[in-house]
Amino acid sequence: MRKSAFKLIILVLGLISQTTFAQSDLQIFGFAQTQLKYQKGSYERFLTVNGVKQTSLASNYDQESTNFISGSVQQMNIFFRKEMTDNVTAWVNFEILNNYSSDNKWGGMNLEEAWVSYQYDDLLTIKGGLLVPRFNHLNEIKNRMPLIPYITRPLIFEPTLKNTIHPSIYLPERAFIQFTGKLPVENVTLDYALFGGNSETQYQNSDPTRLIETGADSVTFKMVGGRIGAKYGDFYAGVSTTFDAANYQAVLKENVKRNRIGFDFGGTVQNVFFEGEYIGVSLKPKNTNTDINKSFYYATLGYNLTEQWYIYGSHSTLKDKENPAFKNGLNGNILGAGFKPLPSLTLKVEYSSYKCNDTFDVDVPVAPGVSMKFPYTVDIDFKAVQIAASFLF
Amino acid sequence: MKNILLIIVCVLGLSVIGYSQVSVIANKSVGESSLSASKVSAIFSLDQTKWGNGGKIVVIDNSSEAKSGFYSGIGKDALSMKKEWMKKQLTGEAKAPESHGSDAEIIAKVAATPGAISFVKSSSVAASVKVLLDLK
Repeated sequence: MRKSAFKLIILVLGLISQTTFAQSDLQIFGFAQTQLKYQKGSYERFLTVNGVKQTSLASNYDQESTNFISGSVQQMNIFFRKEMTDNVTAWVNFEILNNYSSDNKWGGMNLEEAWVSYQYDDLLTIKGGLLVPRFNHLNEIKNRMPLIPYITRPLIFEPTLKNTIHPSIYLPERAFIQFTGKLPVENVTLDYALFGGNSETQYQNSDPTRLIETGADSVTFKMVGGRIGAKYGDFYAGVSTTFDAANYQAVLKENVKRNRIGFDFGGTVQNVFFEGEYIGVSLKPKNTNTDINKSFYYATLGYNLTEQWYIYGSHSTLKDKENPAFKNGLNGNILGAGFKPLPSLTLKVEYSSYKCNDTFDVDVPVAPGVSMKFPYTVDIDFKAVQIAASFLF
Repeated sequence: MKNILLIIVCVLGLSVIGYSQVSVIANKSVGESSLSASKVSAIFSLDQTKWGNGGKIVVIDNSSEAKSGFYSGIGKDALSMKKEWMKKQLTGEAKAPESHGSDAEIIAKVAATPGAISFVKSSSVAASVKVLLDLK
């Protein structure tokens, strides 16, 4: 009996070691960014009648302010990569946000990517599965914190602003198939990406009581898009687009055709680095002539003081004609610095501010069947100072 | 006057001798016999990943003093090259090249790895590898 048990243990150990050997080219790595954040800010909306701020009616007045210091693991990603052959690669990416704890209902955990790619040659690679498509420059790497100088990212790329600005309006966050390729021609490398995927997240079913399985796209149309770009030395530029429909069933009772157009550029000259993007979102509703188009841009300029130290400043503006508060723009400014004591460790410090102050006329009922126009103000003003450590493991 | 001219010629000569050349080397299995600087730049940026015969290119980085001469010779900056590698590694596109700190280690590694490419000081080149480009 003892002999049989011993043989069994040897057999199991043998199998485990064989499995380990078979998986020896599986790479497991990742990164985390921990931060200490001091945030102070306020949000206020109010109606003005004869120059007097009206604060008595809840429907016309809302105010909220924050003032806190908090430490957190802002983000952690774990990657699994395996080169199955010289041409076939598998990739899985789990993302954990904001001190994730299912017990305390904090933060979140997402399966960000799970794809397999086949490289025919440098001109054609096919990627299939859950993936982040190549749209402009920052979309694909917005959550790879060691690659970007920021702690808080420019407006639409910052997940903590998700309740105010949903990124999926401006960015294709997910795709399920992507064709990419590169063609070096003398000193220039041309590249392209063509991708397709589910329609926007608002069509994804998360209701377990419905007949459609959860997480499934509940409509038949799909999002398609692509990017063409060029790289010369340390400079790059590209043009991107997507075509899909936005879910306006609750507001306009229709799926509104949407076209995103993007331009991106960036580079390094001596020790100066810069990058910028523009995204225009064109929406064409059938049921109304109202203009609900949106646009966003950001520009960042930085300087590598040494191989270890860098400083940067960034400005971003978002305009949304659908939201009167953002008609003239929500502006974000970032100033920061970073220090890399080790290749796999970056210490960051950053000051960021987000500001919007807009006054517009709204119809207010003053008597049964009678309404008058009054000025309505929305005032958003948030500032944050953060220090962070971003490390690869 | 003659002596002054002689001194100038000697100084210029010494400065040329003192300027270390960098050679781009490859495993002997590689079909290519020479490469342009722009091709080497595309290979080290991991934008070109296959040799002409379809074989996989294995880039090996050299962190020794040959580094600065090499990157300036192909019109790149070592810092931005590292950023490109990290981007490709963190997006799953490619594995960042492994790095070695001495020319002797690099030559041994390139000689033993089919499809490998790297760079060393020209004075370190050995017969076990082939030279694809000399950068001055």
